[in-house]
Amino acid sequence: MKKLITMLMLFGCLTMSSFMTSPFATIVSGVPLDYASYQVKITYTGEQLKAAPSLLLTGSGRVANKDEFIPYRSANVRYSNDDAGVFEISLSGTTIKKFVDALALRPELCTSGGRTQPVLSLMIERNVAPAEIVFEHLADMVEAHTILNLLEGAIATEPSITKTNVRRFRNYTIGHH
Amino acid sequence: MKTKIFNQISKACIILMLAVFSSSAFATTIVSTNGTWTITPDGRGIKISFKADSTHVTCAKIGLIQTVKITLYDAAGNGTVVNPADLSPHFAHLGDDTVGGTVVDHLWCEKDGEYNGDDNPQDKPNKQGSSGAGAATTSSDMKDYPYIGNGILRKAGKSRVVMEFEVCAVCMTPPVTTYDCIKWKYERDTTANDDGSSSLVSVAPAAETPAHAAAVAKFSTNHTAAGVAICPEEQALINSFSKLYDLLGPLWFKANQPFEVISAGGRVKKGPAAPTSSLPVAPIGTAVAPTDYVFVPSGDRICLRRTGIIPSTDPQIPFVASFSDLYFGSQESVETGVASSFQHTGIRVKNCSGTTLCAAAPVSSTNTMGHVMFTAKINNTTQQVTFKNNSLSTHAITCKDVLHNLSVATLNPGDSLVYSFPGQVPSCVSTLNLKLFIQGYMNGSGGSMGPVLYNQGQEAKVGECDSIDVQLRAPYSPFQVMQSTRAVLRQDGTASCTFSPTNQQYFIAVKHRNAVETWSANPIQLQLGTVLYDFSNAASKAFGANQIAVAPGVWAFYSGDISQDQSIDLLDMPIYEAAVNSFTYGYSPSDLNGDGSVDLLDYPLLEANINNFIFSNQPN
Repeated sequence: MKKLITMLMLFGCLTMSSFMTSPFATIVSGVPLDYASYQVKITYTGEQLKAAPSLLLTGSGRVANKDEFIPYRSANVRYSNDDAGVFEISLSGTTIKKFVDALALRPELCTSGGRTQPVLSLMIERNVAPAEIVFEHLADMVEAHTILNLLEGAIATEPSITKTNVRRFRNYTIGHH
Repeated sequence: MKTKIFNQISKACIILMLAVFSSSAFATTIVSTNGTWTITPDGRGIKISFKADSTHVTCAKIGLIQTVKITLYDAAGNGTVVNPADLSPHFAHLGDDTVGGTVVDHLWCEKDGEYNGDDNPQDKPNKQGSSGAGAATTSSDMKDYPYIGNGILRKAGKSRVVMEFEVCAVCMTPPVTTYDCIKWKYERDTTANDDGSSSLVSVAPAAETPAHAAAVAKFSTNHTAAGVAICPEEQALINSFSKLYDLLGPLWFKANQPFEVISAGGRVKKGPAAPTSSLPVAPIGTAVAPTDYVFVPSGDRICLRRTGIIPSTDPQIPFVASFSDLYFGSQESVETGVASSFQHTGIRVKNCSGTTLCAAAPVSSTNTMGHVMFTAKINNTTQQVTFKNNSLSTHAITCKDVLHNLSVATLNPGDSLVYSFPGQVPSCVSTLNLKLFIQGYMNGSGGSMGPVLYNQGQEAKVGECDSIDVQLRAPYSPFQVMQSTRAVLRQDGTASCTFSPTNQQYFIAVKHRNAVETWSANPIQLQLGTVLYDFSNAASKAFGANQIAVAPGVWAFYSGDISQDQSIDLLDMPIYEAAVNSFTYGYSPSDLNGDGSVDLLDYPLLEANINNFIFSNQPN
């Protein structure tokens, strides 16, 4: 019995370990084509009255699935808006790579975890064999603006409707402040 | 016409009037006359569903309008109802829609008040229902996860927040009809973990309250224009698509969207009524055909902003504004790209003769709204121009010196570049040559003035009379001082005034230590190079013809405003008398005839102008 409990505890630790978010460096790929299988989720986690749908940016080479982020959620962070719904946008791998590359130039945004009372959760999933890796940064208001700035810069060559939708997300979460 | 049907919610039909929840509570069902409510705690929030009774309700689109009232309590239990907009910038868009603390719960830029209405994505994935008339009976569903954090509470000096929600089912298709309502309540205090956890306290059926109805009416008023649903926040966006620009030198611009220019004086000049891809480029102050835009600034700063509603379908529509032509010799800098909708479309740096020294190529780029994207600044002393790229895009800059040496550079995001043109950039100024006389200083011949500075023992060159202060005043109220300079007034009445390069119209205001302040009759166009204005050849050259004839065809500024209060009156007399009694000589404003001493010879002139009630004439 004692051995069984030990095994269960070990299993749990391993499981938890596999669900922990990873350092930013692990999601950067040297293969540009990989980015078409990435997902980026941006969740507003600040104060609110009406739920604000989250933003789910999905590489063009895969199907959107917000639930893949659930195991990697941080404790004591409100992801309720993911449950309210997501606002799905499909992006080319090139565009997602631009966004990741832009983030890489901002060390303050490349830390896993982040603020204790975040207004924005940025999660990036690299779903390339053999492992699924998720990075998360929890941003305060200043960082949230920076993240969305970088995103808007990355999607500059995307169709107008994409830019509009990202701007809308910004406006009904942090952008009109 | 909105009608209300509170069909006497039958107490008999209500299975549960009041339910007390905890986070582990199961769904609660409330049956009322027009349908059935199902309320389910959902983690840190709530799910609400209304399924209409098809025997009573016929409607193709049934929505749910939720209002909220927030009350903050202090440690003693005293509650204060607050406007959400006062709590957090996130709720700023609710401010104008709030009535007595109650507001329709909606996100930024919603056109309809339904929580599950037609706004996309704000109302998604909440679902509208339907009932009767052959339509399938489906439920109206919504989820909510309200949250007010400890930070807000502590900042407000409060310890507990209670949010009272009221949800009414409505038929969204005409005639808009309100069905049954429920109330639910959310609360938390600062002792709770600040992770969004909260308590769903109670839920109860209710007829629509006056507060709910008033908030809905307020929302409808604010979000409707000419019978069409609008997003009022879009209007506010217009102001964010604007930028202040320094305007100390020549500025040319063109735009691809309707625009307006607001000067520091508040004067508005509007651009064309419809977007056009190619507008004429005209220097400021240039007369243009009525169909073109016209811009005459009255302040030293201007604000260029887009006009018209920015459609929510595409708030990214760019407002391309082109600002260019910085001239060495000015203090000017140019900043472009304050928002993603602003695009840097090229800056040229020129020397005084108009030769382009540097050109920054047009670039479409983005940056944070409100931040400057690209700047070019000139240092006239070092004859350098500095480019700074704050955008996320690369800018190409080409510079060429007078020897035609070409320099092409790529300015990466965040980088600065400095180009030097030592000794290659001639001084570039706007010169105003004036001719005017001071009444008391006139010689007998009437064609010149005496050497007043010399007479008063001051160091002066041959031919110099005195000094004057010359101001360039904006041509519109309140006629701000745009530039000013001190110039030497020569005995022949001439004065050469040097200003930073400008290409605008100004009133010219001349101040002298004992003459009444005198303005030009009309705004005068200044430009790069030299402009002449002769006050002396007609009284009418001064505003209000406020000059005195001192010889045939020669006019002069009135002398005697010793107190410099813009009027020659009894307030000047004591100053003069004191100077006379103390036998003042030398550099004194009371020496009205400029002979070097204050004595009785100055008196007749002062007395005459006092008796004639002479005062400064200026535009109002």
